[in-house]
Amino acid sequence: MLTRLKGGRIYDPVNGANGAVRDIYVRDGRIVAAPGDGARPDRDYDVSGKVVMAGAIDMHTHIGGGKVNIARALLPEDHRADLLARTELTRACCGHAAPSTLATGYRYAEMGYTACFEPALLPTNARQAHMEMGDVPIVDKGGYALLGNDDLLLSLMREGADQKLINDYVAWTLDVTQCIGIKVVNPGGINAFKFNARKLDLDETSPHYGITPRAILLTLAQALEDLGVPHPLHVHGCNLGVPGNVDTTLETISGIEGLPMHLTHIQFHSYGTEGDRKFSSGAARIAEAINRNPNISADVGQILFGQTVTASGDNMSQHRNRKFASPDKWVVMDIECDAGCGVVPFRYRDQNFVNALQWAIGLEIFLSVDDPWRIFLTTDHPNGAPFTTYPHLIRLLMDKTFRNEQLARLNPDAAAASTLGSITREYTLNEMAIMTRAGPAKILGLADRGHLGIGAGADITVYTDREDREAMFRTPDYVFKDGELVAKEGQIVKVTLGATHVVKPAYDRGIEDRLRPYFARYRSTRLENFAIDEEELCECGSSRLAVHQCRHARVA
Amino acid sequence: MSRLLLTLKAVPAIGVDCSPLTPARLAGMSSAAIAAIELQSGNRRLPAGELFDIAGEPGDTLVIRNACSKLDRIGACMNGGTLDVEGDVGAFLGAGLVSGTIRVSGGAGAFAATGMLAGTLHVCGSVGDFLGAAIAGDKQGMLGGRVIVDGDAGDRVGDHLRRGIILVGGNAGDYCASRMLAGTIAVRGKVGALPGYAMKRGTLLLAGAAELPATFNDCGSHELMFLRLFARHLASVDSAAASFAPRGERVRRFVGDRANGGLGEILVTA
Amino acid sequence: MIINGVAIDETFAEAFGMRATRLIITAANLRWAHHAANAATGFATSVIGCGAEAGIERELSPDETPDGRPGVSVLVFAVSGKELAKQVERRVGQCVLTSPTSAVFSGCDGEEKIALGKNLRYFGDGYQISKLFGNRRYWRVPVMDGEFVCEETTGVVKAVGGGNFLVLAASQMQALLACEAAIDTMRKLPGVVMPFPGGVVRSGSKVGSKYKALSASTNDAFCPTLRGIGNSELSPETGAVLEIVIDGITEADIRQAMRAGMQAVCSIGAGGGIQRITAGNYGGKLGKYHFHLREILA
Ligand SMILES: [Zn+2]
Ligand SMILES: [Zn+2]
Repeated sequence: MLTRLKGGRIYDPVNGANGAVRDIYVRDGRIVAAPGDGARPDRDYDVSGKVVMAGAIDMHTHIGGGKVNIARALLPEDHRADLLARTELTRACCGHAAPSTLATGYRYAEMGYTACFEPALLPTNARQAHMEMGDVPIVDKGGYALLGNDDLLLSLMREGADQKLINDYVAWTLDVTQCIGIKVVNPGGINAFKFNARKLDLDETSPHYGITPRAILLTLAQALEDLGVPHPLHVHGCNLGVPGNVDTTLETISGIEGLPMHLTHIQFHSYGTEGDRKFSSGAARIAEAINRNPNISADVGQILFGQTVTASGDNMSQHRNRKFASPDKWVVMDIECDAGCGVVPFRYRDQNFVNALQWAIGLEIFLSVDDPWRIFLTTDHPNGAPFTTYPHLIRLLMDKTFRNEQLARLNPDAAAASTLGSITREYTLNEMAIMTRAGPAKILGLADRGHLGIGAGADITVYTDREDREAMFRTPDYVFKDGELVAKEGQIVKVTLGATHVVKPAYDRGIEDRLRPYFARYRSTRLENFAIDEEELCECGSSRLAVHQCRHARVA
Repeated sequence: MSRLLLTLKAVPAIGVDCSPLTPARLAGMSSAAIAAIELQSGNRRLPAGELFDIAGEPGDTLVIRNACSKLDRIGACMNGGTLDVEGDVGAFLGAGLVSGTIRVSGGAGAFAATGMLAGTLHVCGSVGDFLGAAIAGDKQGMLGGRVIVDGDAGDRVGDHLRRGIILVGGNAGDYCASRMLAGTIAVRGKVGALPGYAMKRGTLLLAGAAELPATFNDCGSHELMFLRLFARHLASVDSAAASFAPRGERVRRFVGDRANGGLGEILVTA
Repeated sequence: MIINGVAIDETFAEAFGMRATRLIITAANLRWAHHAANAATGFATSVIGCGAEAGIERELSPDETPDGRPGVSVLVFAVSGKELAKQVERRVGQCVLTSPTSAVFSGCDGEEKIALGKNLRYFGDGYQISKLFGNRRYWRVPVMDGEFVCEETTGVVKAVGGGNFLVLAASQMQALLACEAAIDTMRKLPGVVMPFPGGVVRSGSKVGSKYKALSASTNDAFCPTLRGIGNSELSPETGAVLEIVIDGITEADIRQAMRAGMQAVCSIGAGGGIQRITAGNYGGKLGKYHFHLREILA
């Protein structure tokens, strides 16, 4: 079947289209070249004058895994207050801050998102996380496996294991957990928390293992570089949320010694200690460091005001944040010596000095990083705000007048402490297409996503060009997933299954001989049962395994 | 004063959410409009006219006749007026009641008065579990007002109770006043196991010897003058459940639940 | 106007707007209710030096009090709601909370509320217990004889302070006896207190002084020992003058109390050495309320 999108204004930064008018043809789920004159499309969509982009990609959103379920269980009121009745096509679902799997998929698709990446997939929870993501309809999914607080890696490092052995462990982890990247959360800190440490700085040696977060970062970043994994080490750094952590973050950037590194929810890591309240914006220094270091990318983790829930593997910072739980209930727990988990409901308030400044810091970072290919639009859903706030965030970035109006409503001390009011930059549609499509696809190594070139997967979003960017990005006219129309004017019209994006770097299977006894002795699952295969993934809702190429692995 | 009469025609097969049927909501509506109100029942919506015969004039008082335990959420979030129910009712009776009076001649199901803010709820029969208790995930149960149950109450009466008064004329089940935050519960009959479990604050008034958790500390026998204020406040309540005054003010005071540092009190009248 | 040989001056008492509240102090018996109330209303003769003017309004029988115990009702007056709140808290905290078996309740429903037990509860150091019955919140504060129970707030009403009349008699004792009789009658009436010791004041004052630091000074025109110098108001027969000052919830309350008091004085009459009744004012420019003696007695 041939589908044509006729006369749209194409924003496709990968292929150099910045509003150029051209037709797009789709066949069998892929974008194809214009057929000859005689060919008549089976389906024809007149999109003349409309803005056409690839489907949006959320490269950091907590949509699966244990902590999301804990958040759901902790907040029944979040579900009661936000109910969606079933329709002919869609099933009943609910939830605002911690939406159900179904609500997650429908709402993402309705907003024109076609792929979402769960950034904190604990290897020991991988099966559950994939099953849960399999239950998220329509959008593609992928996960980043968490390493860096697991007893096994830390033990290997303490023993002074060869980097090659660690590389094999990392590659094996990616393989058996079906992930596309590696994330480290509070390197060593989650583990140190269990030995009663309540903070762990970049160069502080951890209790028990005697290694520093800096060493963990370098070891894992080196492994990914050696294995040729496209996605750089995905780093949730030390000292999240602590005033003064801007220095830690800058040292983390320099400490990675030029290796590729992605700093996630960097807003939460950009705090200074100036001013009467010893809390200030470090955004300018962070943006300057990103601009200067091409090996560094970041997503912002913007906060937006209202009720949400923070769900993180960083039990150390969540334990610190428990005092601010609103409503007053929280969970901090260990996950099988593999990592940790902390869920703290939170309400960001615009009249609260700290919250208001956090809001401004996030926007300052967005607007001060020059290269849109290295900064990504996230709220660290749901930690900064639920993903459904993205259209609002996009308007804040694209509309200076609107932004300044919002700024004027904030806690006046916070507004005065921020440079945001003097920043005149407005993101263009092309930059937005980079930040939410082309950029994430590139940094994840998704060759056939995030663009509209020949051969690309036909994930396409069509918007009416409205001055109100929030309205524009909230309700796209058409959303195509793999060539099928899944949403029309903000309503789901077809429910499909998404793929699971993974990488499969080469490694020495001999690693399993070393891991098998460890699993037998210390883990709740035997090695033989640990690995997840494609069949299992597809049984629980994934349409297929989409394996992406690694860079040619470095010869040892 | 005008009264609207809704008479249930037949017992529905599954529960019906009756929360749209409140005096304030129906005031000024025509019979046809009332008959057209859709009530959620399972995954279907039924017009009120299919379930009820409608008579009288809508106004300050709504009477539901022939009620049965399939009618859930009666008077939920009701704001003003009087709701008189003849028969039994289902779960969530008077949940989130904002103001007004609800009276049920029969019994009620689970979670009666949960989230209730103010007003009066009087059940002449017995109620199920979780009377005035918090629903799953909520940090607070009933938030104010007065609940009178002439009969028995199930388990977890006043779980997480935040404010308000619950009077039980008969017996109450296990975990009475569990996790209670404040407010007053009085039970004239017996209570089941572990009254005051994880209680933080508030008062549980018991009529006679009861087996209390070991984590309630005996603070001795005292005449507590505030009980006189309580009795006077209840003087106008027409129910045996409210008759505490004749017992006087001498009570044995137990404080707990010390297992979680609680300073709640269980007062046992002699 | 002459009643029973007593000349009633063609003049008026000048009174001011104030803020007031009524407290009900109960105890195990009347004796202890009085102890608490006397202390709480002590040193409250004049807002100028005491911050408040206060007194016992009347005794209450058990069926008139919220807790069914004997009690007294007390009226407290101050120049503003804020000052009243400060005075009530301090007086109840030091004199009622401390007094054995006592409890204190609001006796006054005003729109405006001031704290009664709201802050005193912290004396309970975390062991205090709140009880909300209907729309009244009570605090139970553990103390060494059991629990101090007090209502959270009390209402504030607009009130009138400074109603007065002066009794001129042939001798000091005759003036005093007449004032005692007046006070005995006036104390039976609701809504008023006579805040001076025994309800009677001998140090009537005028505005201003030769000493710059003082804003008021002795009312020399009515001092019998100064009769021969300056502009005395007294005739040669007058041996002593005493004044009764009245604070009331309403203008009518003061009017009623003044009438009762002056009638009591007049019924003693010239035979008892009473010569004249007059009143204190500031020329009518300072106070909002004017109580004309002849009008009241008409
Ligand atoms: Zn994180
Ligand atoms: Zn995150």
